Amino acid sequence: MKRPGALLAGAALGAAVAVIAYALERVVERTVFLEPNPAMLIWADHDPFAWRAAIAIYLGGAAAFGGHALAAQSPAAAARALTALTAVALVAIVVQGALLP
Amino acid sequence: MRAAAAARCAEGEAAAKGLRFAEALAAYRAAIATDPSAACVSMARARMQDLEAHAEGGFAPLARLEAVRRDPKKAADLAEIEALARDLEGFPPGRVRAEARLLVAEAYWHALKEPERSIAAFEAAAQDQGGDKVTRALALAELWSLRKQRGEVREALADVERDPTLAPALLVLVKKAVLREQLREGAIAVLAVLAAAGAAAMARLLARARDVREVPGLVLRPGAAAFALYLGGAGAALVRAHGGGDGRPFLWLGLGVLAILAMGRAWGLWLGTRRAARALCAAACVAGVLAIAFLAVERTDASYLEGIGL
Repeated sequence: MKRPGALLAGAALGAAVAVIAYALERVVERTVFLEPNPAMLIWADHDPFAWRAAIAIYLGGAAAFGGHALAAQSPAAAARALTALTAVALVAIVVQGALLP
Repeated sequence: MRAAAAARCAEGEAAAKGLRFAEALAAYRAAIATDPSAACVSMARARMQDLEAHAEGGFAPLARLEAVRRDPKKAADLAEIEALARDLEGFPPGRVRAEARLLVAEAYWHALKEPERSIAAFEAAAQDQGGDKVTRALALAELWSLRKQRGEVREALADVERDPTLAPALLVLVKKAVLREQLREGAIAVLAVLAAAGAAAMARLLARARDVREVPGLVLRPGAAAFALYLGGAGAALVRAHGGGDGRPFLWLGLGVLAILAMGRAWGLWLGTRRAARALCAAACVAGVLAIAFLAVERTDASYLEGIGL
């Protein structure tokens, strides 16, 4: 695959991983680290959504490097991975949004 | 009545100040009996209860302890502390003996800089069944602080496990510290093996290279360097943005991952394209990254580990 194509494939794979990472973060947060009662909070350091999104983007960015390497070496494998990861991301974010918003 | 009670309280205070504890106890009791509603009675009652709890041996042990405890010069004098340590072995079982052991231990640790003797005294205080639970738990907590300072976490666990019910929260803390030490030793062992294997692979590459200047380019790919830079730089920037957290673990992680990627590349060039060899190489790299991630956090800001129960 040509360089711009590999970069785009890497970015796409990274984006899919970022969505999966966000859904997983939220699930872990809701099941393991229970939030304090919002009524008891006067002030919070950070917007939890922004923080979750930043971590998800960071992880997606890391995955983009792997995606780029895969696409440069085997475009077919990258295409298969992108299809699978997109499907997983879609299911993950819908399930998380519906069950653990 | 009120004035008489206040006078008894003052007598009690004066007697306690002069280490005449039996007299002080009698004065406090008299104050309470004279006027239970007097202003000083609540203080008198607290002092009376405290003295009753330290009355073993007819107050002679308490007087001996207080003579040292109230005088900062004596509490920092080796001869005085050694004399108290000898005397307390003759004290009857009770709170005073455990408190005296604690005082001796603190003096050996802080003022006299003799940690070995301090450890023995703390152990004796924690195991003194006659002492109250708070004093014994305090002795155990201080012993843990001293052991931790000396890097003796396994010995500390043995100390705490002698009586697991004395300080259950401390036991959990010490167990975590031991687990961390075991993980640290494991991580260092993994990295030592990987470093040796990486050095061997690198030496082989250097020996076979026509031009040694080609070797860095062979093992360090631009993509790998960019990935390590991203992992360290973006991670550090992210935690700095998150309330000014410590970014050093990410920087060490980035550097470590860069080294692991270079070693992995060198192994790959050595072992070739055989599937088993590549799987072994990948497993070694994963173990190396996990070891580096743990050490990067544990050596810089171990508070991050608490978030994952370590």
